[in-house]
Amino acid sequence: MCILGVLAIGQAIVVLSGGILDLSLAVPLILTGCLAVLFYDRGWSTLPLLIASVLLSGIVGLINAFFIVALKINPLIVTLGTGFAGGGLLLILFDRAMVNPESWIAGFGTSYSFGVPSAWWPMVLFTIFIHIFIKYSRPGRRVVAVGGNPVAAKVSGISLKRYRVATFFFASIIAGVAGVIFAAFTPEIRPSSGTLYTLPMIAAVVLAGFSLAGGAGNFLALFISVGFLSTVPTALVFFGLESLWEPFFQGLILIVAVSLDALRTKKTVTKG
Amino acid sequence: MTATLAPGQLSNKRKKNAGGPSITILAGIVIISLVSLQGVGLDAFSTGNLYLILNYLALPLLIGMFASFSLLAGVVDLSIGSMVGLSAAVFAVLATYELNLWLCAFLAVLTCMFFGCLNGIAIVGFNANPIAVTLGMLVALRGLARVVNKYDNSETLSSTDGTVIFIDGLNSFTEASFSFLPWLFVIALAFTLLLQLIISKTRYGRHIKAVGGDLTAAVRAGLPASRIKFTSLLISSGGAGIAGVLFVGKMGSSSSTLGTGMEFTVYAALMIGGYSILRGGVGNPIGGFLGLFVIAYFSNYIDNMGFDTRFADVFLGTLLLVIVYLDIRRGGEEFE
Repeated sequence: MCILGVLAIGQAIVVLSGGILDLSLAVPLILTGCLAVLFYDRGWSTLPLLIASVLLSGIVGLINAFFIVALKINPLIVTLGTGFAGGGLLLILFDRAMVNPESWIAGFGTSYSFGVPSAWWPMVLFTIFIHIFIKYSRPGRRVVAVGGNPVAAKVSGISLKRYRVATFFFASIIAGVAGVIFAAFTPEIRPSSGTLYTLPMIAAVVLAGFSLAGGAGNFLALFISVGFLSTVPTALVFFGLESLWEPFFQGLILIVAVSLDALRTKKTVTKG
Repeated sequence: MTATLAPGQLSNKRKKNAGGPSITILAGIVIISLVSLQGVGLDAFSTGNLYLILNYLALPLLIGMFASFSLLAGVVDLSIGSMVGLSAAVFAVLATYELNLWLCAFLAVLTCMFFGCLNGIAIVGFNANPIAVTLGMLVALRGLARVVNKYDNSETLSSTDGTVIFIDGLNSFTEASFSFLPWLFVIALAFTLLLQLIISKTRYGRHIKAVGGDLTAAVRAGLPASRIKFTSLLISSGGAGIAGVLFVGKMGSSSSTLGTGMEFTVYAALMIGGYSILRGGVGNPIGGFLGLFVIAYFSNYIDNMGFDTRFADVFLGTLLLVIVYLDIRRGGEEFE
């Protein structure tokens, strides 16, 4: 749950700011894990290693932003393309990365602090921080403005381009943080395993009531919806189905959520 | 997505279509030919190699042509790759129970069309974003195909990875060829030409283009837009179903990875050929065929050179971005 919880925050920022969706977040997720292992094997100490690998994963977001802002390509297409190409590149560069069980990262995955697994805290802290940031700070409210009505935002002097670059960069960075947690739980990182998260994080964001049109959504609700989605595997066992069914239900939940979201938007449009 | 642009604004921005996609495609074929002449030698142009390319091309072409209906109508269906896998799994598993093969094939295609129907309800009925819906369907059906593959009757193989079933008649049909022309390719090409006629000459074809090109105008002109979109989604899922059955005949099994990423290849090819996955109403079947030929040609080159096939993913992803950029240059919709 904590990996999905952090990833969903990154995705939610993109959705909130009207960037539609970022389908490439699996790339920074895996990239950070692989880089962290690489730097560890080179003998780097923990803090610079974490900062460097997370920041480097932000490159993916900058590449996305370049295509979106400079070449004006639709973000869905851009991130579909960079996700596909990036996944291929990761496979070529890192066949697999073995996390050293002695390292700080591996210890982080099994340790407890304040009674819950340590890996929980990044998710909780990020959720609270982003919630406050979006609700009360000036840049945060501008993110919502850019998503809700880009034309009005532009007219009132907000640089759309700057916010596009910032949100996609930030989403990649957040996915990088999720990558660190991912590495903490995965002894052997395989580049293909990241794509498993793409759909659940979109489902979580839509289910939490974020409008795909942008400008509406609540991060505390996101926390709850991530929690709900994490109960799907348990629920399947409860109903006597095998875990093979999990993707099927995840997909259906997304379809239902997107349909309901569309229905709701249609209603508000006809009312207003 | 289109909220920021008024309908009339687009036509003002439309620039001269400088030769359209045919120039890009021709340039692509020439470049790959030169590169493979340098790398592979004259063997690259032998009939044996041509057979390999066309054999690889046949089923994706069939899938692409069926899927082009939904692209033209402006509702992209990303779930076709998974539908191919699901149809193959349903067909192969039913066939292991020794049911009538025609019945198996019918049920497999029907299953796909059922899920195509669900896509239609969500996209047309609820007005949901087609990419988000069919992305969900992609994952759902990939999972379902794996579940179905588990229920085969065979005791010979570990059944988690796929279902092994060799069907003699179907295999000889899918592998038959006339000199270097695989029959399946001939059928797919004939279908492409037929589609070209339907799209350009019949009323139905023009209606699809009208609905995809400018929905508001089409609705005001009294076209049954919802029905056309819904039907186009059914057609694309049915086509993927048929291709899934044929794949089982060709390979003698339904692997659970069958069709993974196929939607990406097919749509990249169609976009090279002038279709757009964000706006309907543009593109023509022959262009789509040429686009697919470029991709098949390139994969063939990678195979012949013995390169890592993962480079093909990187190439395709990059190519997609380049193509969409060119689409914008020739009047496609810009983002903001």
